[in-house]
Amino acid sequence: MITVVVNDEEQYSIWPAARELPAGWRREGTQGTEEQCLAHIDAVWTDMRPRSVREHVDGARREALAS
Amino acid sequence: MRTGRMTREVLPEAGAAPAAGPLTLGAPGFPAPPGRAAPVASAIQRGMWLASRMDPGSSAFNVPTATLLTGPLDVSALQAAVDAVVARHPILRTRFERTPGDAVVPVVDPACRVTVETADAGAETAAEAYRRARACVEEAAHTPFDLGRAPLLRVLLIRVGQGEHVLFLNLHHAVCDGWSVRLLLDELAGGYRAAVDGRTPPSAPPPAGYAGYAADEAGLLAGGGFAEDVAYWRERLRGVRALPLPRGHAGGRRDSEGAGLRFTLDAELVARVDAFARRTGTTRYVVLLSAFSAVLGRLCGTADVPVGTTVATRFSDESADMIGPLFNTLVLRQDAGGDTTFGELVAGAKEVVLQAFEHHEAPFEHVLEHLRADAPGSGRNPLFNVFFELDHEAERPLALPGLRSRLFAFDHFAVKTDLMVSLSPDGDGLRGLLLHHPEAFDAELATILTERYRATLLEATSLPDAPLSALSMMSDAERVAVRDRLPDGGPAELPDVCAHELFEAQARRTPHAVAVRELADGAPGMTFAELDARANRLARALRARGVGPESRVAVLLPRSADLLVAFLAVWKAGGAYVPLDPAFPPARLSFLVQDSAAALVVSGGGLEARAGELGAPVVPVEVPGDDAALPPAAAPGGLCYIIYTSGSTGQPKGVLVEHRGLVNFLMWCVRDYASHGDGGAALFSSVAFDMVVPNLFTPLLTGQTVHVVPDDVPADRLGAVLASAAPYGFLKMTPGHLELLTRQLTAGEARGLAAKLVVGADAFPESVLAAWRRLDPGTPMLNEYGPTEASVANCVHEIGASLPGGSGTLPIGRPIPNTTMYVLDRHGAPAPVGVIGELYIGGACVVRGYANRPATTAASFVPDPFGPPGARMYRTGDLGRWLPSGELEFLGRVDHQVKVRGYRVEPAEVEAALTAHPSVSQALVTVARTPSGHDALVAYVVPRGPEGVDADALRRDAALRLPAYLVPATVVAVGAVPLNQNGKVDRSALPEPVWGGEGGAPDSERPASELERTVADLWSRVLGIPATRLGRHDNFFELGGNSLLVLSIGERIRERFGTGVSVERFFESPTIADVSASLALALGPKSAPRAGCLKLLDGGGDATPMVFVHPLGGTVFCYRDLIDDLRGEGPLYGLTLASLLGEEDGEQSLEEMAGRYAEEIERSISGPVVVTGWSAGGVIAFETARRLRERGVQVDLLALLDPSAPSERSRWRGHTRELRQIRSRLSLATEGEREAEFQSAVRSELFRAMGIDPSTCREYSLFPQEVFDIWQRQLGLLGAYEPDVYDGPVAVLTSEQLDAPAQAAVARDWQELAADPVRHLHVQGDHLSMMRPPAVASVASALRLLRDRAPR
Repeated sequence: MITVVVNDEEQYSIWPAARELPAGWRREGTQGTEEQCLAHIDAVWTDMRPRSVREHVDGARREALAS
Repeated sequence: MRTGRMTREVLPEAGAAPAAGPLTLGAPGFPAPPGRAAPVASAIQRGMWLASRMDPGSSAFNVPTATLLTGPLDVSALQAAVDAVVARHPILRTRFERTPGDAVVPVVDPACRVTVETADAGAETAAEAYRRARACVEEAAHTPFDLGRAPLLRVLLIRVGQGEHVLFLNLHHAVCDGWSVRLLLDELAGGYRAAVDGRTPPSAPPPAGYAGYAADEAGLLAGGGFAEDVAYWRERLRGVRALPLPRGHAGGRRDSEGAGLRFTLDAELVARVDAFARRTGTTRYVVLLSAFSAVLGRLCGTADVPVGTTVATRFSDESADMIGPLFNTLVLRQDAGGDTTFGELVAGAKEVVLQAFEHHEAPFEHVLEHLRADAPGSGRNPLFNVFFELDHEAERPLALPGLRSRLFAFDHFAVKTDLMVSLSPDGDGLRGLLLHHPEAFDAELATILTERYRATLLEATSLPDAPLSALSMMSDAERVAVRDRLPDGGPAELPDVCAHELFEAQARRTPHAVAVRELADGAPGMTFAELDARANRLARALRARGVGPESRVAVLLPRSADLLVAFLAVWKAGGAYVPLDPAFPPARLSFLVQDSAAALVVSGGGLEARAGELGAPVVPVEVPGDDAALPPAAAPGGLCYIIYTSGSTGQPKGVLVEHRGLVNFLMWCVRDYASHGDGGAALFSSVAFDMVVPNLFTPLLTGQTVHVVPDDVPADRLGAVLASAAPYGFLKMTPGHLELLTRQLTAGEARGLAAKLVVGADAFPESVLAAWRRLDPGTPMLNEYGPTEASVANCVHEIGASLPGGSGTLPIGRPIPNTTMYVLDRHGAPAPVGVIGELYIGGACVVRGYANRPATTAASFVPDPFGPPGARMYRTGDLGRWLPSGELEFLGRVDHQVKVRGYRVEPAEVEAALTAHPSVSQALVTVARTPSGHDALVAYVVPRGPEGVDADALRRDAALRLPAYLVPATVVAVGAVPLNQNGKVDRSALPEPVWGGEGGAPDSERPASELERTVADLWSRVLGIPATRLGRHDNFFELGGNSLLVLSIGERIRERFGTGVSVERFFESPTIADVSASLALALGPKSAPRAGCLKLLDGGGDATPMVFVHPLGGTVFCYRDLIDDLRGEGPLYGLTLASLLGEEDGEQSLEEMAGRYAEEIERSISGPVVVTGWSAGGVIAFETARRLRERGVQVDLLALLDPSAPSERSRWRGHTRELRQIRSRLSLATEGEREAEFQSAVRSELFRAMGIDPSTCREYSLFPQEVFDIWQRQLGLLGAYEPDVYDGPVAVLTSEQLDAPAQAAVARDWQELAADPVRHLHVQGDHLSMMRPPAVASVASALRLLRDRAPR
């Protein structure tokens, strides 16, 4: 059994459901075979930029628009 | 109950008696086999006989036991007891013989007697006496038996002290088992008691002997018995393989003694095991076996765990009194997969044991013979290599009346198999002994295994419902050790900036230093300030077109300084670059632009039109505008480049690399790679791969120069071009490049190439290093490891000064700062030292992921349980292990991804391209080693229709879709892709690829002319394929050749013929027929009918024809670079020694030889000539010119290049003697010493004086022996030469590295023989290097000057 996990940068990964999850990760809620989990990730992880990069870029864009 | 007599407790105790069937051995009801009178050996005895023949020195089948006896011992009573026992049991007087019919038969020797041998271990102290006794026992225990000599029982009585003895018994397993030993000890005790009491010990034989047992078994075997059992085992063991032990499988070798480790399972743990067994309705044995299999499976990385065990076969009442080997070996195969729980494993083991017992009667040796055919070539025992045994009873000492007795401990670590664990009762606990073959399992692993075993018994019995993958199977001590060792490269400063900001800071520090320079071009180069300004201009243009953070910009440029402008500009604009290699097919380039979502393509250098077809607007690399810096836009977490690697889905994957990871790597490069010199680095390979990143950017962060080798420099000139700008601060290259440079550089050039050499991107064979080290023993070198996903690389091994053995691959070392390396098993647990696992990479180097591939990214970049919260680690798919030194070793791929010539190749990608062809229905791509030892891609294709496939057409088609390195070297058509029983592709069942025409080429295809045969012979040597199997139209690359081997062929052709075939020509048409045709053209029309010594090497230009006269070696190979330099200016001719052209050795004297040369020159060249000779060639040139003058031919100039002195008979004779000595040393050297001897000879003063370039003498085995004859004859001619005066213009060019008086002396010697004043010029380089770039340019310009000023 595999589970879908996400970290603070909103990066997705997979992890054995039975194993203790390393710090800084949370279970996203989806469980199943590796294929099922990866298919789910393919569907939901649409912006692969880490959260900090996304915020930096969006912030820069807002600044650019404001100036 | 019958099972009560088993010596090994296998069965569940709780009433689950197996249905063993009605047949028991030796029981009434068997038909008496025919010929019972003739004794036969049992299957076990035959097996042991065979084993003893294979390892006559092994004591593995000795069964020794020793008792310490305290009290008054009656030695004669002991002897009487031994005599009685030996009389009672014929098997103790038995030896074995092989009959003419190849049967093994037991022969009972009636007169055989066992004498109690005696020894004295008496010493001053008791401790010393025990020590001596123990040594004596251990020596006796390890003394092998000869099964051909009776008795196979030895008795040794060692006196230890007053009233203290050790009684040692040793039997061969062919005549006993554990039960027999206990029986023997009991009978000896009884006999001793009788003798002491004055009675005669009983010596009547028991009612049934072992001979009857063996005869019953033979009868069953002869009658076709056990068929059902064999069928069961065949099914049960289908596809079984011996366990892949961490240190490898010793393959049945028993040539070294084993090693042993004792351990204990304490009473508390055993009680726990027993309680678990009771709860689950099994036995102690089953629980102990299950935990052992689980640990082994984890340690070996396999779910399929076969373990051997023995079971007693004493079922009849009469067998209770039998001495002899009454046991059988069973293979217990368990599925210890990670999803299985321990409870399930135990239940499965119970079933496995029960079933095995139902089929235990077929002798193992018999089963093995039947099953061996299924697993050919897997050694002696392909079914298992690990034994597990549990003794039911503790070993007992010999209990003699009137004496105190206890077991005397000693070691007998002789191994029957790779690994064996036996447990026996010790009070309420168990004592264990782990025996291992040191080549299969080392002492450290033995400790780890026993600790893990104990830990797992505890853990698994507590968590029987957890999957095995969730168990740690590790002791607390090991867990701590592993965590402590968790390898990271330590911290180092990681500036929070982007890569280009480091460059900008450097540009401010060293604005006027040269940042980038193109080689072989004469361009002055760009300073840091200029590069920064140009990049700013382009960055402004890019930003004006919307480029900002996270934008992608493709770059399609020739390999030039413009690349650096473009990359820096993309970064300055805030975006990430996507490097494109102009050599890729257009379809590939379009894919890269689309997949990376590149907004723009930066192009120039004539590639703009191609760039325009890629689907994105083109921006010229050279734009007008403002040079000033831009406000920063990129952030350290932002994307900096996307580099594509081969992808398993059939499309390449774009690796998203961020500034932070790149900066961490570049800071390491700055601190380490670039810290030894200030010569910068060179860019000489494709920018589409990240191999070039260190060479590309490190110099820019250190104020040094990036030297760019343009694309149009052919591979065979790479060494020369690189050497022209040496020494570099450092150079990073692949092992393939290093191999190439080893062939192209002289020792001096190699040593002066760089202050540090970094070799990476592929497994680095020690042989490649050793070849380089022979040229250059001193330059610091690194082996670098890391996938593109780790931001170029993150693991390095410093290569020591000592020359490697040459057989293996170099370690990959330790991680660089701010990064970590892990070796994890299949369940994510750290693997112990020495155990193979998958390599994972953590830390700052881990990249963002793969462009547009969330699922692939999520699967490859997983939570890092060892790193900071939220960190990810990259799963490399590479196998590796920790070495005891604390370094890592790389051991290949987990999956089928392969590396060919340094490139990552996903076979699936190549397969997808092949199946796109209409004639192919299925394709399978693997890597195979060509006969010449190089890895090459092999495609197996299943044709779609009956017309089959055209291999050439298929490869041409693939070349349109794929870069050259992904095009298979050979295509093999197969009827179907073979599948194994699981329905998976069985790669091992694929046919061997055919590199040459299998079974020989048809006659019409055989090389036809002498020239073709010679070329075929050269191919054969380089490719390692017999010349008879080469057809004249066979494609060099389909035979496994690669571009490096082309150069090797080219060299040999030049050495052989004095002229070559251009590499370009070779690539166009790589067949023997075509290469020979080109060669015939190059050799000139005159050579075709009759081999002349004079060859036209280059016909262009109208300057005075120049003739190059061979030196001692006989060829004009030494002039190759000079000829390259002078090409096109005027006709260039070469004189090659006649005997090298296949003629009888016509040279009787140097004068006669020169006379012939003069005649050929007069016949072929009209008008004046320039005659040139280097080294000893100068002397021959002198005489040739003299002869030409005599014939009335106008010699405009005689140019002597660092010539030998004209007349030095004693020196030449000395050389002749030395050469003879070298040859004799070489012929006397052993094979192992020969290469070293040869390499030292070719680097000797003598060879230097003879003008032999050691880099042309690479390998003794490939070195033509005839050359020695030629040199020797030539030295003889020179030693006998008496020069006369010459009356034409002479110039002497001497090496400026000679001191001035020495140079003057050379000129003076020649002046004495010249009627006119000799012109004396100085040229760069030493005697050898003046003929190679870069110094050769000064020789060429001197010659040009002299030639053009000469009177016409």
